[in-house]
Amino acid sequence: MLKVENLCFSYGSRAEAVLNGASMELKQGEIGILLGKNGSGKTTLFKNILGIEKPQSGNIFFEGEDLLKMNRRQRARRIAYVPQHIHFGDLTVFDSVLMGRVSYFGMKASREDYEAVERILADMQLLDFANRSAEALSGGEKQKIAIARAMAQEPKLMVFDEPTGNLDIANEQLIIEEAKKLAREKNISILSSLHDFNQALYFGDRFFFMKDGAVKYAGGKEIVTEEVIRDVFDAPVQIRQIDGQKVILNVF
Amino acid sequence: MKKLLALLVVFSVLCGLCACGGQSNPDSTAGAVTVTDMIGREVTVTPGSYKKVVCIGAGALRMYSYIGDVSLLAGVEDIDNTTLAERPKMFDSVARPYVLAYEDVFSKLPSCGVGGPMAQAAEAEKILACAPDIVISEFEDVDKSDTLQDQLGVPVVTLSTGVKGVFDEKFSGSMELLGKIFKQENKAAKLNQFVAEQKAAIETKVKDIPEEEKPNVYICGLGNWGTTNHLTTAENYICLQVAGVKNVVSGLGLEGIGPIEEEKFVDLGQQMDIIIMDAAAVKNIKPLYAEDKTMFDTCKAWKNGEVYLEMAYNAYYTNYEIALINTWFIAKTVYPEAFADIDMTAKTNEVTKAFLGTELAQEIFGCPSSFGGYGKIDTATFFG
Amino acid sequence: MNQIEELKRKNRRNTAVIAFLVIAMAVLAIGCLFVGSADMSVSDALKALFGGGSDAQSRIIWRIRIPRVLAAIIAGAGLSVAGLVMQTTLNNAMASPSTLGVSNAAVFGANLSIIVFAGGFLTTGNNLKSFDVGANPYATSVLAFGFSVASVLLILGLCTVRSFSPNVVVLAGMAISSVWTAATTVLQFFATDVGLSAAVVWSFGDLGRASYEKDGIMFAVVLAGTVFFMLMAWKYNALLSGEATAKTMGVHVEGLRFVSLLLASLITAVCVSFLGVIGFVGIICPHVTKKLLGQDHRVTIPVSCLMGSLLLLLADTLSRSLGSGTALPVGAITSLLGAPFFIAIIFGRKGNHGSC
Repeated sequence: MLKVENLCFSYGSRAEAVLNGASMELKQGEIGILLGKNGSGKTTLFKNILGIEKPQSGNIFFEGEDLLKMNRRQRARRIAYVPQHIHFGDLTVFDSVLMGRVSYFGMKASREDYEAVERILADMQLLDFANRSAEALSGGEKQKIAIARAMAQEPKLMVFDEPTGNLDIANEQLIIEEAKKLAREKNISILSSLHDFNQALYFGDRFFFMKDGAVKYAGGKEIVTEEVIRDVFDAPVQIRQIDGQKVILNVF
Repeated sequence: MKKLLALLVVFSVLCGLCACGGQSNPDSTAGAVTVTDMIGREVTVTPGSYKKVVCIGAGALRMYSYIGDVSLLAGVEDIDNTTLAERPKMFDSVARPYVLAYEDVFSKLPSCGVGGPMAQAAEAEKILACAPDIVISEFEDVDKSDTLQDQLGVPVVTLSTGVKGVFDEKFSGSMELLGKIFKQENKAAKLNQFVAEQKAAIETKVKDIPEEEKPNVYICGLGNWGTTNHLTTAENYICLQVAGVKNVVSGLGLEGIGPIEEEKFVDLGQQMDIIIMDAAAVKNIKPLYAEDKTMFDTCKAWKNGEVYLEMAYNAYYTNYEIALINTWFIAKTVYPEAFADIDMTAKTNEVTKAFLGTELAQEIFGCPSSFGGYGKIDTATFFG
Repeated sequence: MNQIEELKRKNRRNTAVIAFLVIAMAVLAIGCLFVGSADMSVSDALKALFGGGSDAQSRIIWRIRIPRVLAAIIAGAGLSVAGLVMQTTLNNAMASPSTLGVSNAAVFGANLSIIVFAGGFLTTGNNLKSFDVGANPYATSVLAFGFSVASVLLILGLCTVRSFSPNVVVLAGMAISSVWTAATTVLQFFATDVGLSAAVVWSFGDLGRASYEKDGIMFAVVLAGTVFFMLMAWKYNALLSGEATAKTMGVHVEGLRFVSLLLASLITAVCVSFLGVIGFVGIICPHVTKKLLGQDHRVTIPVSCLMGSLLLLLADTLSRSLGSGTALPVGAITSLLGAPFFIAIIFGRKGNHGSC
């Protein structure tokens, strides 16, 4: 459904290229994980897919349509974003989630929009929060609200930028489960960056290793090998099998 | 060795200077006296010895013209030299009697500065170029005057003007001071006496008029930091006070000349029996009137046609002789019976003769912004 | 479901707050009609209001007090909502209605008119070059407006060509403002003290300059701006989540920012050109609103407008009752009145998480 071809991008015309012919493909309902060193271009690739930045060259197709030719509202109804650093402003949780529907209603929310938000909050067991100020919630709660807001966009693809970056371990698990549930139950594709290999292996279906602004390795769990990780991260790791699961260990 | 030589040179130069000072002292100190000028500075002057006089600042030349000999002037500010193309012209259309009297003298003199409200400091270099032996200043600031005196090396005597204008002690004091410096004590005394007598004459005529018969008078358009409009008035206006006239503006605590709100003007307008309008303000009221022709409609005096024009009270500071003539005019306007014997043209001639030695009524009334002189204006046509 | 009910109550409460403010403003506005330097009793004023009373009284009510009260309502609302929109679109709590240099440009234009062209609008007919030219009442406003619009277009133009990030806009605004201020200083250095005092008096805001025509022009601009801002309320809410996130929710951030800054600056330009500089309304009122009611622009836009109207009405009434017959500059009063209240609000409220 998402097909990225030869994407090139740099911040400003004279700056060094951050994306250097990046290509990748994600199927409907799949969870894709982007892995790579800091500065390898993960966030920039997301920004191009989300329309926050425009690539200098290359193509992005979404269900066969040219994503780069869509306007922001059309794009917002297809792809939703859960950023790493989440702000809502001093709004209630309900309004923060309702905001996700702005690409549908534009200026004034209708009864259907309100009902949709109520449904989503009920689904995610967030109704008790509806009247709280979103900005005052904890990191994990904010993350959940951001997912609810993304859900309100009724997207086919959700992009998570380091969803577990600022969370404690209990919340990490909670968010990963929540996202996985969405993908499985609602058939929403997910594209996420993560830095924890074990989380990635548990969460993801497809894996994209980025190096120097391009996707160097792509594939299922089988491509997550010691050699690939060493090549991409310049860091030695060991892979063990525990109860039939791959576990990646740091080597110090 | 070099240091010693340098010291020697410095020392000898100093000695020389002292010697010079010592030599010239006996000459200039002959008849020298110390006077206290109008801002409290002590200045050593030699009365009657001055041959080259320069007057600087608003009103200084005017005051000098009343007492001193204009043929002694060595320079004039551009604003008072009507032949210059480049000069401040904002007061040109209103009467300044001292300029009317001595225009021909002023126009032949070199410049001692630009003058006008533009100048808030004396231009020492231009003054020096006139090589004066005394400077009469109206920059009422001790530091500025002391500094200027140091720079010029000649006495700088500062005059002063007070809130009561021509009736103020500062005016008579300035006249006396000028009289002393230029050995014209008699002239100064005569002028001060004249003003006192005129004031007494007006006061005598109005003193028996009962308070309840006095109409309400509004004075407006007095110059204050330039020309103004109908909203600028004075609560304690000396000319009204001397003429025993009831000011419609009272109880505001307004010091000196200042603006009131339009609302206040409209409110007071219901009680105004007579408006005295300063001629200098006409040009500013005109465009406002063009904007809103109903602006005076609720004003009683305007409706009854009781609006009178006085000559410009302030133009480069107070026109002292005009202030006195205005007082007569206001008194005559408000109490026509008591002042039936007063003819404004004759009075104007009498006063200008006492101040400047010339009868100037015709010239004053002929100025473009005098609109023909003292009198009632036709409210239907005056502002068009 | 309980929380949803709670939420509906909150929305009703916001509606009630707006209704209360509207009523408070109406009451204050009507009250202001009875305050002034003229000695008019309440019954006199009422009579004049309904067509009776003397000519002078009806002139005071209809030609002086009503235009003035309207000016306070319109300009207060305009400056306040302009400040709110500037703060949101530039993501900067310190942004004010004149962040794009509008006020400084207007002051420069007015100074130019008063000092150089001597077309003064208060007490100056002091043309140095020509002695019989009087004051043109509109020259100063026109020049002030011209320069403020030029300033806005210059900054927006530069930002469109180069970079439209909020920080760049704010910095460019600061730079241009200081250019206007410097140019004004140069003008004033060469000014006569007559022109200087007139120019300084001009820069103090004064609602006494209001007339129905000016109120009408201000109203048209403020109304157009506010309607647009209200329609964009959800998009401003989206901007609170950050520029990037707002883009992914379908908001055309650059276009919204351009139009919002332009409209907010135009509102400011019109108000300042007609009335002089009225500081602080555009900072105080939006912040107080946000601290009290949160940041939902569906609420903060109308409430900011009303708060601005209230503050300016109150300040103007004070300024007219403190000086007897000569009103104090209302701009000074807004700051004197608003600043302590403002400080009390920002320090006093709990649960303050510093987001603005």
